[in-house]
Amino acid sequence: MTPTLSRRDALATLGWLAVGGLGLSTMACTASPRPLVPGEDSCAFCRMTIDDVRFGALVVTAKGRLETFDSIECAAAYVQGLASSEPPRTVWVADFSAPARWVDATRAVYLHGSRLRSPMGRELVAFAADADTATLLAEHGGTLTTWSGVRALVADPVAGFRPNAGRAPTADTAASAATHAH
Amino acid sequence: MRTDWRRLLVVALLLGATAGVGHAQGDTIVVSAAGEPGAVRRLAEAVARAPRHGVVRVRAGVYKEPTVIVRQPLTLVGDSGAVLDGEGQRELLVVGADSVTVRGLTFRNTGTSQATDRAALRIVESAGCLIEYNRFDNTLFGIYLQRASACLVRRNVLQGMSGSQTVTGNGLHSWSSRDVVFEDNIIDGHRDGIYFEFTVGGVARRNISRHSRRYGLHFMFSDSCRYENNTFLANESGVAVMYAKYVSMIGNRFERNRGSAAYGVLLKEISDSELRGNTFVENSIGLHLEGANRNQIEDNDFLRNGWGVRIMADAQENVLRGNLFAGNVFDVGTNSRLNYSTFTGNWWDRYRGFDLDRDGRGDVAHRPVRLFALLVEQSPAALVLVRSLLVDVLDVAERVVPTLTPETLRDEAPLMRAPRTLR
Repeated sequence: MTPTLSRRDALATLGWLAVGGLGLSTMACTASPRPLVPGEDSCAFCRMTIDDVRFGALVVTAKGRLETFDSIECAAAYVQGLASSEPPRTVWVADFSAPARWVDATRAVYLHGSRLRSPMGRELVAFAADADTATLLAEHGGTLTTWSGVRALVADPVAGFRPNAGRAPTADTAASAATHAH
Repeated sequence: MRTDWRRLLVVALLLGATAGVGHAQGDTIVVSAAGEPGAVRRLAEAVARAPRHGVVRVRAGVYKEPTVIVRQPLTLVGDSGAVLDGEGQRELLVVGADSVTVRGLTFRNTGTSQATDRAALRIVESAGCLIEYNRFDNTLFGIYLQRASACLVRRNVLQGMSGSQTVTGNGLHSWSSRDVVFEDNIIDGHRDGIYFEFTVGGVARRNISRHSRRYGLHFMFSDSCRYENNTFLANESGVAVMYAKYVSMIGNRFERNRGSAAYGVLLKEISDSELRGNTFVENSIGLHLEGANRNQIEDNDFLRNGWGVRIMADAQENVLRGNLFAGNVFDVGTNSRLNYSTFTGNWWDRYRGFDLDRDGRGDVAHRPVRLFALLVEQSPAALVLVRSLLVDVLDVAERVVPTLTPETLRDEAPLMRAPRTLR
């Protein structure tokens, strides 16, 4: 071992000194959940700009960093991809009916395949644990699932073109147009 | 080309549709809100009474009716000033039949909807539609294709909702459809100007998509689509092309898409595709590649962007050739010392080498990644130092004795002359 710094280390140190002050200021952020800012926050998994916060999610990583997501499916896929040695501290999902409220992902109830179309094509929305599931099902369709169900779901890739698969998006009138002449 | 026959089919179907119009002169029903003699007053009544392949002629006037549903092959033609108004409450027209033409109508005021994708004009499970010369004002979604096929949507002008809404919709939206063509439309102020989702064989050509709250063009899970000669201007987040293969983007212009996460083009999980002859001007990030593999990126111009190209370590076997880089803050950025793509025969305005053997290529390889670009990648806040002397010194030092920048990310044969005049 020689006590001299390698040239590479020296350069790196120089660079890090330059950014150190700024770095410290950003690292000081706390990782408590905060509201998503549409048009400004982007998804840490799919990189999309977050537009509709009702489908959003947050992950607090093992290192305490807060990551934002445009959809529950993206947050679940992100968590799947984390090393098993670094599980997330917390995953929060937006309550679709009150998106300013964060719900612990493991306690939330999820609708899958409902008429509410989430940004990444998985048709997943979350509600608080005490939500009236019978009403939700009647109103939006789909099936109920849990966080582990969601994680199992994202393990399968989304199919490409799905003729007559998946569910039609809700339209005010699409159902009544279903009987038509060709 | 693999999709040529499909386009022929589109044309054939459309000719069929228009031929139907030609012989149907006696089958015209006139609608007049003003109560013209011999005309019906309500559009819904005219549509219900029209024979198959008949024509409904809509006179000038404002029509405020419950959503009109077309259930048979039909041509709807609006005179100048024919307006369907949803009064902020509803969808306006739903097409649930093949070979329907909608021409010359103005659609306005759908209002917003929290739980549904409310569209001014919705095409449901139909083939061979022709939607042209219509206007859309203050509509949540403009034209919504839902399991449609062989449809041509052209020369429409769409203006989204003004003011700030929590719920926003898309201009031209294609969901689970195939062989649809969007051509020569102008789309302004929607969430996404054009959105292809689960669509195969889609074509967007010569459209102008601007001022979108999110993306000018957005497509996901849509293979074998083509995007040619479109202009994407001043969209909040630029254009996102995600989770697809065999995508062809040729001759498009991506301009002034600015914002913290704005991309001229975001290529996420895109493979076996080509980007050729596109122009990226003054975007936060011109082209971002992430999980994007085996793509041919040739003859594009990257001018005055924050980043010209940003290529993540998980983007592999891409070829960048004949591209022109000028006036970018960073020509190329990356998050890794490793590079699995090929840069060759590009023109870089920062290249400082000579061409002693006069073969038109620089004698020394060009390394387009600045050291400072790497630092910014890891600590974005450092960007405020971009014009500082320290950073210039770092960059010069790194150029002379490369140590941190990716060893294999270099252009072995940089062009000495710009291959094109700067656009």
